[in-house]
Amino acid sequence: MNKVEVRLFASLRKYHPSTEDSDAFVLELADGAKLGDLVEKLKIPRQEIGVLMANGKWQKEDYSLKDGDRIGLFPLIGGG
Amino acid sequence: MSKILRVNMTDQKVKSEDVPEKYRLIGGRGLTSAITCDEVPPTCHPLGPNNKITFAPGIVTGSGAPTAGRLSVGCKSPLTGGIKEANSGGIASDKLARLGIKAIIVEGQPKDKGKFWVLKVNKDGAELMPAEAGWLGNGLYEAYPKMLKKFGEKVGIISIGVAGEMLMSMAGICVNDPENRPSRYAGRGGVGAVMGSKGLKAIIVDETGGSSVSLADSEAFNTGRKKLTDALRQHDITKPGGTLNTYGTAALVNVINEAGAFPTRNFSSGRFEGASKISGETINETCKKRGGVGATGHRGCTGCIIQCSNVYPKEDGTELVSCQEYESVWSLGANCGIDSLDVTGELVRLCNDYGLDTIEAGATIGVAMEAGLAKFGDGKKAIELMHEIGKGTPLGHILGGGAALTADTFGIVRCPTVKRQSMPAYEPRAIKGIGVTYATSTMGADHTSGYTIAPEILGVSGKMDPASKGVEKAEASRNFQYATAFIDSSGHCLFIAFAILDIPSGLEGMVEECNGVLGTNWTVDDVGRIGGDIVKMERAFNEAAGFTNVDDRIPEFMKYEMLPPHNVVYDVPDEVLDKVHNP
Repeated sequence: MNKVEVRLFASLRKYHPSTEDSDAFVLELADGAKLGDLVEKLKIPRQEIGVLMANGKWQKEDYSLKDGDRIGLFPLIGGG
Repeated sequence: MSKILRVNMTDQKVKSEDVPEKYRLIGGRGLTSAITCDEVPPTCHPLGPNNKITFAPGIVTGSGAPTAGRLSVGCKSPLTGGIKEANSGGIASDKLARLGIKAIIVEGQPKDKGKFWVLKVNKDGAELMPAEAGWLGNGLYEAYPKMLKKFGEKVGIISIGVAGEMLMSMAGICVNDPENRPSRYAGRGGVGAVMGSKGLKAIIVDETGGSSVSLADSEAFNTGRKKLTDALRQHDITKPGGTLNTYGTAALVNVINEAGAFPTRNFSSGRFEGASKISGETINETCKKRGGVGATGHRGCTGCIIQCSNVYPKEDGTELVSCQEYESVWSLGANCGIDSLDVTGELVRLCNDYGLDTIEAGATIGVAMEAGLAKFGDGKKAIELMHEIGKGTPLGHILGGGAALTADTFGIVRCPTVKRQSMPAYEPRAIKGIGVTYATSTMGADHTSGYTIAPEILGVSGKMDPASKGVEKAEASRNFQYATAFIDSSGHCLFIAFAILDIPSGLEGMVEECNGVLGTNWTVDDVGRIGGDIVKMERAFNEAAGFTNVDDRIPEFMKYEMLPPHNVVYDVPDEVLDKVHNP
């Protein structure tokens, strides 16, 4: 099993698995699980996601999760 | 019939001039930069009699085009020593355009130092009148209601605060928002000090009797307006209920922090442990929780359909400030180690009140904290330092001179500036392309002049690895710099870029709106050419002012200090930086 730390931002916060107001939560996934599996487990529609990050770097859904990864999921974000 | 107002502060005479043919097809930044290049000696002292300051609405401002109420302010900058265009929202630019005013050029200098005038502009013309005592030496939250009482509640006010009166290099120029707050700023580069050096406290714009900008081709304009409006209403970032509308610009806090590129404690780390507490999400939640006047999706500028502003409430629901922007909560928050929106809000309010650029102010306090004038995270002391600036004490004058002057004064090597202008809220060591823009922009370190963050972090207009450091970064920065110069000339807010970079019909719409106003036949292919000509003109001014490619560099400390969490240095080769303007 891999334990990863997940953060959901902006409009994706509604997919937070608990109603607690905490920023980060830990998810356990089977060995070999990909980032796409994590998205599916959280039931986040793919079209709502703009940016997927693992450890501060862009990754795609085929990224293989590792124990201790820090994952951030965002909708499309802009500002300036 | 559009006209140019020429205001001579030496003899306090105002003239109305026809628009010369060579200025007919430009507006906004393109026009302010052209006038600066044509009329200001590049080697002049920025605060002396030979500098000029120009105010110009954009090409489509006042036409009913969406999100097009920007005002360009141009001059030689006392902060950088180069050309400057600072750009503001608010309500004044639309009114100027509806009075048929293409530009106001303010020149000369009064003989009486410390005396201030106000320029009153209406459909009958313009006149200078002495500023009343109550408008001077006070914060703008006190001065604006007094000016509104005198001139009416519906005027646009373009004014400096006490920082501009005291000729400080971090002084901006303030424009009232739709509820008449002194809150929208042409902030950067010390444009407020130049206005102050002219003895001009404010421009009052009364549009009564004015009319919408005339259209050369209303069919082209209406087609373009619809295409752009549709794109803005469709894109996830700009649409109603989209990211900007819901969370404001501070929606960026978490994503830039997560990317390890959120400058923290004077650019010593790329990640701030308190980031989520000052994020757009927290602004949104706090507005809901505290209620009262708290609001996101607030409209800060005339005719905006994105509406990214906010009104941030105190605990009791009364107003603390509008607006807590991304750049401001970063500069006065994370960059000073401060993780409280109540503190950043108070600091933003003081910047609005004294007339300061929030980016330069926060970067300067960050340097001051590094120098030991306060501890990182000490909000109370940061507020005290801000009051020093407002009071104009000797220390306040040093701080008011900006991050570079403060670093020079206190021997601080970690000085995050390019051409003496402080960097904004993106760490170039972690996002290399924005560093290329900081280094090579004609404006000094400026994210808005070439926002490569869109492809490097946000996945807008394609995707580009933020860590790459090859010529592709020079090309990306150049393309963004050129496109931005066009948007800044159109009068549109730069935030339309998020939609039009992804939706081709939106880009067509912007160009067709311009054709509709001007009677031109531009296509989307002309955007880069026209924007490029503006950037090249600005660069020629800077070269004549003494800048060389050696000035197009990132500060040295970023080349040897590793930035956590990715532990990276700035390693884009100089040859790549030089390729931006010499492809």
